[in-house]
Amino acid sequence: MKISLEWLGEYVDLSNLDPQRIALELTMKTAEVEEVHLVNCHLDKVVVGEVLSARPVEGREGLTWVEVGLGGEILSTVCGAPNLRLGMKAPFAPPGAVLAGGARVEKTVLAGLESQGMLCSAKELGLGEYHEVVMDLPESTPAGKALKDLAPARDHLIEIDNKSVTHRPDLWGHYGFARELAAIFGRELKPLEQVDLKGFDNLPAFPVTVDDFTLCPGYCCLLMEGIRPAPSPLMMQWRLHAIGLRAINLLVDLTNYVMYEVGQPMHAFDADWLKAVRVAPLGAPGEFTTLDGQARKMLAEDLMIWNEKEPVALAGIMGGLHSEVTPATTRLLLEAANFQPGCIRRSSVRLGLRTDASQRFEKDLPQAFMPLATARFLRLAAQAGQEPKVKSRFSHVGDLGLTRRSLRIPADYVPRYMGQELSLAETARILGAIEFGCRQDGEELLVDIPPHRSRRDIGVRQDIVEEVARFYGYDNIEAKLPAVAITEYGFNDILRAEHKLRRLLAQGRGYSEVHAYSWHDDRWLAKIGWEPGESLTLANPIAPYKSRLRQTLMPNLLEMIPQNYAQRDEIKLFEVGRVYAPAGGGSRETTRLGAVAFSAGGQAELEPLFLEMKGLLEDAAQVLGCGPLELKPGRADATAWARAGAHLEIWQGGVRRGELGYLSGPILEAFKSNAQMAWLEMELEELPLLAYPALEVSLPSAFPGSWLDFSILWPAAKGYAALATLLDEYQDDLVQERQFVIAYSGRGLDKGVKSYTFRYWIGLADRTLTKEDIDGCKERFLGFLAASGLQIR
Amino acid sequence: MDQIKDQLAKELSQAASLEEVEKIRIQYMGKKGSITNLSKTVNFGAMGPEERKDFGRRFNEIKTWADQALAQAQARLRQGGGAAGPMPVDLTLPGARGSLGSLHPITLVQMELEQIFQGMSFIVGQGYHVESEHYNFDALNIPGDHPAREMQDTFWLTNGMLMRTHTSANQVRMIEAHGVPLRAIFPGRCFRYEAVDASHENTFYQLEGLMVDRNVTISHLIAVMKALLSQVFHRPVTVRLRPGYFPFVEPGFELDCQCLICEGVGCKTCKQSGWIELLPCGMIHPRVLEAGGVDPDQWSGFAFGLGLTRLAMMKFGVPEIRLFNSGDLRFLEQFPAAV
Repeated sequence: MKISLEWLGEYVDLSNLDPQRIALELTMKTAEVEEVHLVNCHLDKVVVGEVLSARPVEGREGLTWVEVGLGGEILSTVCGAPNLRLGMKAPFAPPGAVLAGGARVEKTVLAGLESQGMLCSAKELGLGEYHEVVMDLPESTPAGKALKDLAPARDHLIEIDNKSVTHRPDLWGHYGFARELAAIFGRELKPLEQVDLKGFDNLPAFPVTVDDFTLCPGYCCLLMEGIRPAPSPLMMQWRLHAIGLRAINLLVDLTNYVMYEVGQPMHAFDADWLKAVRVAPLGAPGEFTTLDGQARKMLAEDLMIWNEKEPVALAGIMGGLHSEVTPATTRLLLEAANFQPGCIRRSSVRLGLRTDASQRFEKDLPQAFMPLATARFLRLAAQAGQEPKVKSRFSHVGDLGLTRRSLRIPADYVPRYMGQELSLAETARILGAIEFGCRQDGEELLVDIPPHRSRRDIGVRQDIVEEVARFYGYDNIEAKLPAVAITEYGFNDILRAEHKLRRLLAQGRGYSEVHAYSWHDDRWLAKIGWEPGESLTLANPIAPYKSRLRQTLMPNLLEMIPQNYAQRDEIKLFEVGRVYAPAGGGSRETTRLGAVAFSAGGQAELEPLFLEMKGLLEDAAQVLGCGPLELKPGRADATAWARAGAHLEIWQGGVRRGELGYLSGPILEAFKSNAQMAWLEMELEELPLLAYPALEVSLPSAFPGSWLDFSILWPAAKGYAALATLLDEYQDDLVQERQFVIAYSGRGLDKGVKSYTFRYWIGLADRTLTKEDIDGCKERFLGFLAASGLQIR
Repeated sequence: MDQIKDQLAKELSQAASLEEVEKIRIQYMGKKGSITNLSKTVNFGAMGPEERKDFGRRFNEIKTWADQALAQAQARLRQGGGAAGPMPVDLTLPGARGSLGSLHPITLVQMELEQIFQGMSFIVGQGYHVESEHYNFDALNIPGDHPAREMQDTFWLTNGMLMRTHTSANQVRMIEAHGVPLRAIFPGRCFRYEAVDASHENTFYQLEGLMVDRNVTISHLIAVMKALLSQVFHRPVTVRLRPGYFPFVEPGFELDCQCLICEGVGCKTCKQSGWIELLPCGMIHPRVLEAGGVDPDQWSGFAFGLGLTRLAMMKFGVPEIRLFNSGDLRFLEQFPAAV
């Protein structure tokens, strides 16, 4: 929203104040100023011209040859504007004038006709962006008069961040900002001149009914005659154009001007056929054509303005096609109403129809704006020389919001909440400057809220603190660190586990941490041949194929592999992230570790790649302190990446916690041909997570031990685990630990046979081993091997 | 004595074999060696007791030094290095790196902030990504028809839940879970329904924090925020507080930090304003305290939200927000696991 400093000058004297300083003070005390725009009007040499004759240029559709009277001199020009009419007054730029955008007006010949200057649109004068029509000045403007004597050549527009005034409907018009600036700079705020509405009390009322006052807390209207669709006064047009609106005719301009002055939207109905107003929801779904010509699908709850039995306007948003005032309108009904913010917002959001009016109504406008806007409309119309004949009393139902609300707060509340000493007198002075009443009543302060402040804005005692503190200056509050009592620190075990894993993988194992999205891409899922089944689903995904929330980290991690292998042969990625499963009507959200190791090294690399992942899992279990993990063969083809025989399940404490494996089968087609990948996924939720691994320290023996290495031949197809189980049966008092060293196959061994080397650590707690001890142990073990049918290499 | 020392050092450095070193040893330290015989070159009788003592000290020093120098020379030659020949280790070769991987930039920033706040005795929570309308909006004084809902375009789920639009969704949960007094932060992933471009993401990270106690004031809020920022940037920072509107705080503030690039003069980073908008914050709205079962007449508090993604972009000079969720290792590997 743009606020014109020139316009503000109407209500508060801002002379000698730098616009940048005004912007800064507003930012620091009221609302965020995004930018200060300089408006530089190109008025030099431009004069008021009168259209003396106008005839179409033959053969050139849309062009008119015009003779323009400049109060004596007559110049001719060729003009393309559609709104030319005989007797019209408009700004005329003679040769030599420089217009906005830098174009210099020259004498030219256009379509074979001499053009001695040009009639100007608002944009050409440097006002706003509207250039479709020539500015239409009031009849009374004297031809030949220099425009710079009629309007200011410069202005500054303060652009306010709309979000920062969401809670301040009083700031959706210039007068609200004038009030703030008057308080900030200690200057006088000029009251708004109004017509006394009581003067119409003896006239008949216009019939108004409101079905539900929660939807429409107040509705005011006034019947009038005699406003012709003439051009508005130059300054009214100037201001509307400057802030980016367009001037159309006095009636339309007045409603806009009042809206941008006090913040209250108004609507004018053609009263020649409007007999009575009723405010009520549509009641049944249907269609309604708004004045922009669009037929809109309506719901039963959309709030409408009715003419007897016919809906004529979408309340607070836009009028209906047939209710619009036309040049033929002689009687009009001027509406100033108040609607429930939520009701207006719901309809306008659903219909995708955001208007200046709906934007204001959804911010909970103060009801007191209704009579104020009406009185201002009449006053401004009179100033424009078109005093309307009022034909009804000021007809209203509901609350006019004129009773002042008040809040009781403890007398020391404001400084106590600020944490800053502040006298009662200073508090009262600040509040007084923004029209709040304030008086002490014993231990309490009675704060009187002015009618222009919304209930949503000022409702609780903290709101009063804000009013005082912002004018006191937040930066004037001395910063003091709080003194606090020490409490027990509540450890977040999951977070600590997350960080432990991050360190292990990134610092110890060379992995890179990634963040993947929380939803899947169905196109990728199709590529890897996997369907997630019942998932939590976004109702409004960014793309229709990105609607399902992930229940596993794996697909999105795998998706990151191909985009990286152009630059490297080895990729190690992990994510510690959330997965989301449907649970009852809601969701169950848990934290998981997912890791993928990729190598483009071909078949030979696969086993080491997988074993490295398996070792990572063992390290992880130790770091987390979650006790021993049990690995079991995975279910047949559990997922596209967990294929039968190519993955293991991770169990702990009798619960399945995750899986690890390598990619095999059809899923590999989604990757490049020599890709080998190992993967791991484990859930952290409900794992026993100890700060330290469960340790029982054993004292180092005072008597040195020894070791014996054995390489045992074993059919590779039977696997390591079966051999290990067999070796578990060997019992010997001397053996302290059995350690697997290496597996070997190839040269020197029969096909299908592997040699597994083990190191047996032996020792005694009470004496040093003798040669006989060692030899005895060796013999016993070889005997065991022979009895078990095992051969030594 | 110093002359002898220099001479010995020179000869040892030129020695190319153990034999040569042995010759040198005999020449200096043998029975008739020049060091051994040093005592014979002086007239003790002509010396005073102090002088004698001093000579003795220096004599012992040079003997010790010579023993060490000879031993080093022997060691060097035993390893095969001659004076002019190549050393066994090229000290200038690059070190063999271990497998240091990388941590996500958000993790780096988050872990640092967690430490800062843990130092100020704040606990760390996390909350849920999939949230109820209640915690994300209603409990935060943002009723169904409130225009503030528009500020946060929401991903809705078909079951009526939503992807949390801010970590503030965890405020009331934390108060409910831990009671008051409470000092807590809760970093995490948030979601907004918006088109992705260089500076907008639908998935990003925030860090929310709050403090509730008896008589918490605006003054406390300012002080804690200043303490936070000076720890984040490792230097004192100048801040300014101005009005900001968020329905769950009253009063609400925008806390700007004086631009650290230009010191407030005005530059590209701060868009010539001299200030960087960094921390939306405010005093917790009484209705939010009530939603958490806390009596606002007895307790007060402040809350703040920090854009972790934005902070990471600032700290690391990342111009493109899409890199964070891209999985592009050329970007991610620039953040070594330095925590």
